[in-house]
Amino acid sequence: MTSIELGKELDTLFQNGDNSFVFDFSEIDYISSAGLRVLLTAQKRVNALGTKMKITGVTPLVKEIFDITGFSAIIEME
Amino acid sequence: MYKRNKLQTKLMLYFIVLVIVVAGAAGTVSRIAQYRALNDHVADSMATLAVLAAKQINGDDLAEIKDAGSESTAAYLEIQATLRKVIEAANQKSLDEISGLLNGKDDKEVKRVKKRLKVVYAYTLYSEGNKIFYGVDAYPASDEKNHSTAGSEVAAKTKADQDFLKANDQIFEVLSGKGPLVSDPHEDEYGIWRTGAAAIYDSNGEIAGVVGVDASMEFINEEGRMLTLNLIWNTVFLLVVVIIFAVVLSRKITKPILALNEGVKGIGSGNFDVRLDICTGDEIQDLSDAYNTMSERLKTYIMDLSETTAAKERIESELKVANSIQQSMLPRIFPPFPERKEISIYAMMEPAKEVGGDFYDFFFIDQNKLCICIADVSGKGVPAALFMVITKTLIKNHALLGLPVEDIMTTVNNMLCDENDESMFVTAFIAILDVGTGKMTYSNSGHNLPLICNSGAEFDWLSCKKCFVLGGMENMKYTSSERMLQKGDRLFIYTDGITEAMNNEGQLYSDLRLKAALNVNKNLGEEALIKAVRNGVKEYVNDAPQSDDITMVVLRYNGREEEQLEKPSFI
Repeated sequence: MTSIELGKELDTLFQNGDNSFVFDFSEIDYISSAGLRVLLTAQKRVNALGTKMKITGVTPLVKEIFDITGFSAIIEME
Repeated sequence: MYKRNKLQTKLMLYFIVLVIVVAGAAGTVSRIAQYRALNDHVADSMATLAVLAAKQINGDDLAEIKDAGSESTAAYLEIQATLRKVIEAANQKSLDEISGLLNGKDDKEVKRVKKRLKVVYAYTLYSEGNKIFYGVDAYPASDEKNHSTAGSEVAAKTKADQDFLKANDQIFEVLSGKGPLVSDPHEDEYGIWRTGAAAIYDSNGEIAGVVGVDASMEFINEEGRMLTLNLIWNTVFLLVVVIIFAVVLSRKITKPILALNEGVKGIGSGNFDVRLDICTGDEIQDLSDAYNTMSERLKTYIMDLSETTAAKERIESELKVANSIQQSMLPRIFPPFPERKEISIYAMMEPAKEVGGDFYDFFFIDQNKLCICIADVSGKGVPAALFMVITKTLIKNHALLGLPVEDIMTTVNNMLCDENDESMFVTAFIAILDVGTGKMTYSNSGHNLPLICNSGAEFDWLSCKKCFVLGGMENMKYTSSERMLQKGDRLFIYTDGITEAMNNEGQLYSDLRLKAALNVNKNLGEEALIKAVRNGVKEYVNDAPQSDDITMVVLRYNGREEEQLEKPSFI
């Protein structure tokens, strides 16, 4: 699934009234800035709704990217 | 024109070959059939002739004729008259006339006459023991050449007799009562002969001898030749008809094809307006209808394509302008501050698309403070480039206000968050270096860790406090760090276009390779160092397309101005 597809999927889910998400990242070994943007958008919408989202199974390389970009500070991870 | 002839010629050739093969086959078959029929017919006729003659001959009389002396008897003459009638009836000529012709002086003429005659000889034969003797001959004794004397043995006197003897067995068969038959063909100097033989009975019902009737086979061959000649003429006539037919037919077949050909050629040269009107009611019409539909669609398609191409070209030319505007926004003249000996800088930015989201910048805030920054907007292309312009402007404006780096980050972040519906964000590294003291304060908002190289040592990662990206979320906290630079220290900042450059196997260039490349080339000058790193990345990705903007800046601190002078001027 590309970041564009994920963005569209999330749009649909938000429109359907879903507001809490868990992302399984165990098979993700790289995330680009476009992917980060989708996560950021989702986090902002979740914040606005007052609900929660979190990411599970983050691989070391993706964790490093989250750390460098400071995303670790705003997104809940397990 | 050449091709036009080719198709027609081919069709004609096919027709002609077909006719020759068919006519040849039919001719051969009919020739064989006719030859056989003729042969059978001749055999039948000869057997009939021999039987009819044999019935007229009195076997008792024949038994009396055993020597030349008996040739003058009434019995001999009566039998001879019967045999004469056989020859005369078969050839519709009197025997005297035939005899005259056969005794002509010219051998060739005689041969020719023999070929034309149907029945040439008629005679009787009788046997004694295992020998065969001549009895009565149709030709009178006066015709010495053709007369066979009564009582003379059919022996190997002449070549003709020798050949005739081959038919002996068959004559014996008749003599022993096996009924009339016609011998197999036998050959002599005058041609090929068959002998019809029928038994002559005496009053006791015993076989007294046989009637022999010789016919030339030459006329059968003659018939065959006539037939062949006829066939050739027929074939020639057929060929002429077929050629005319082929020309007309092939023209009829090729005409629509040639029209199609012209139409297709037209399309090849860009003329889509040719429409074909072919009503042959066959596959060619289907083809022509398909052609018409195709050229109609092609015309529409090409028109659409031209419009799209024009639009694309317009956008491309606009992007080219945008690219040059973007490039001109970045400081590109090196050295940028020739009068400032404290620092050396070299930088480069290479967008993956026409315009990119990366940028670098450096400028003096005041006499001593140099601001240097690098940033990477999320995404690529025009949206990233537009966001990059805003970010660059905001950073520079706030830096020039003299704000500390963490405040620059905080303010720019909040301003970028305003009305940022697209959730674009920027990772940035901003450093302010006091060239007088070497003190560098810096802040990193989610950007790749810079590398620093102390004079004489290796490049290593510059530790930064982690802060969130710019434009991501409002009211985020940004912090700064400090580091004292010594003379000869170098700072290398870059964007992830370097470390995340991908080769054909989908593997990243990685931080480790970057660090290694920098250390291998650490003794090079600023410009050479950056070019060496760039070439290293190029070699690594090989022919895989550049996936992200690539930006690098290297700064060398040369120490305070006073330090650079061996003998300070004020002393």
